[in-house]
Amino acid sequence: MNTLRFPLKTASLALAALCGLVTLPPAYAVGTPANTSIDNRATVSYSVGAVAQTPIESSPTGNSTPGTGNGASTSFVVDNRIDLTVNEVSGGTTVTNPGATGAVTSFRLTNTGNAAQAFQLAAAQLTGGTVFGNTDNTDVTNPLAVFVDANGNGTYEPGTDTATAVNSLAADASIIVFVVADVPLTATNGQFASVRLTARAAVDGSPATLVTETVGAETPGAVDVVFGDGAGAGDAARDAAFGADDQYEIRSAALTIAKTSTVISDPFNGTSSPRAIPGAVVEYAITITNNGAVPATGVTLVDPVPANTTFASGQYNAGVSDVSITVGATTTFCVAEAGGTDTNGDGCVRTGAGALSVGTAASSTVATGAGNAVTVRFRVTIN
Amino acid sequence: MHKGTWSLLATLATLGAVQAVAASDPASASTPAEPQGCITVKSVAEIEQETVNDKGERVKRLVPAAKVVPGMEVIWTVTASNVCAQAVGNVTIDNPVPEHMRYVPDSALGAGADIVFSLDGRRFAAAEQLRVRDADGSERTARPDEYTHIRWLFRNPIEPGRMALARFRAVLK
Repeated sequence: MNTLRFPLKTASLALAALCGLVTLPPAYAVGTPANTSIDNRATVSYSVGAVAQTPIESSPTGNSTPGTGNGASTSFVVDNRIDLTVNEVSGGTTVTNPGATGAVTSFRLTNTGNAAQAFQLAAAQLTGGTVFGNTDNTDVTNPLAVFVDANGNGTYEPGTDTATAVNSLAADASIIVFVVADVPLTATNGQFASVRLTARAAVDGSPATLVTETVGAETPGAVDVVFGDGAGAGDAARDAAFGADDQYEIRSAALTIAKTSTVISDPFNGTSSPRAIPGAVVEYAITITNNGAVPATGVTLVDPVPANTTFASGQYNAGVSDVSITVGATTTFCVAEAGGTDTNGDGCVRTGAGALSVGTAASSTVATGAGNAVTVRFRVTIN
Repeated sequence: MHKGTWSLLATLATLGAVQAVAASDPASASTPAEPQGCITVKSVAEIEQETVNDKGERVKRLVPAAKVVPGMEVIWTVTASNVCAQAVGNVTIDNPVPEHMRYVPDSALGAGADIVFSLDGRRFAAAEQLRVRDADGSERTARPDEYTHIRWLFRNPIEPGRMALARFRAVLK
């Protein structure tokens, strides 16, 4: 553009107004990488008298030599902004049970800085506080294990996901991190255990060495380190760390057992207003209700036949069964063999000590809710 | 340079031969060509730093661009100082928005200058006259973050010893 400026300028203005339509390149998705040189060179055109002169390029200290290439760029080097986020992945609690091992919560760690970094990872129990609207009131086991998702499938695989730190995460890349915990048997239904994952930026390729912010004056031409991260859960802004919370929700079966007895008949009154006298038949009804959140499985009811009574066989199912099991509207029966051997394999047996054991197909699983309560009935004769 | 040279130069300029004239026209050989032009051009990158002065007031000052990370704003200042004995006219400062940077809307300043922008470095227009066509074919006014070049057209000559100043802000992407 070394010709007469103003007429051309006017022309280009008019041209732009008429057809100055430009197709634009896509915007950058990531921040400018660290160590990129940002260069600027201005060009000044001018006239002396009416005569246009050769344009002069700028330099950092001032340039007067006309002509292309005689100036010098004013430059600076993009420094390393440390920036990261950690987000809980599922958006809700991880449901687990008392005694569960390897219960997993997942987090996504994203390097939002402008250079590859390593990251240290640490998980901690929270005490109190609210996550997902639930107050923390128990703990999972300590110490919590943290593993990096090696193959990016988002599923914790004990043999594969073994790294406990991120060795190198490119700018704008993210990776899944698992917190793995065991749940104590003492945890109860409806409890919540909150955990926090905190990631700390470390020197790329050396996760053992945390990054440090460059203090004091800029080192010209060198890549300084500037902390630019926001505040996460439990950490401040610009501390090269970021935390996020997740929560284990303990769900368990909670069984309640009620036992009632009814006199069915006595030798004198029969079934009409029977009295609990020797020789009378008494029915015990044991009701198991699950007020928890998940079904109870493998349930076996053991009840000693009361002292001074004798187990009464053949009281149900037209005289062929010893025990009645009612779940909702469905009643099944079983035979409680004496001697401790369940010869017919129906789950009912009497042990040598005179205790009735009931673990039938119908009664071994107690689903939640009053409508799924299991009632076991058997009868004895008063000695 | 004496007055006789000016008229010759002006004639050549009309013929579109200015480029050759300004530095190496044989006509200048009789009056030894100045190796230097009439303007010293300087470009400086600075950032705004907020400090608290001894009165406890927050003050902003410009310091050399240091510790620049993505998202930070850099203030670019170009000065064109007239180092000749006569006034210079038609002073135009062209400055590309540096690569990896995004022009900050309404940040271009220049006393006595008309400021125009470009999306390609060739066609310049006032901000409201820059149009672009989107991928879907619709046409709209260009956004400031799309500008690639800025041009300051100084309306008045710069007298000897004075300078033109052009300034803009850009954010590191």
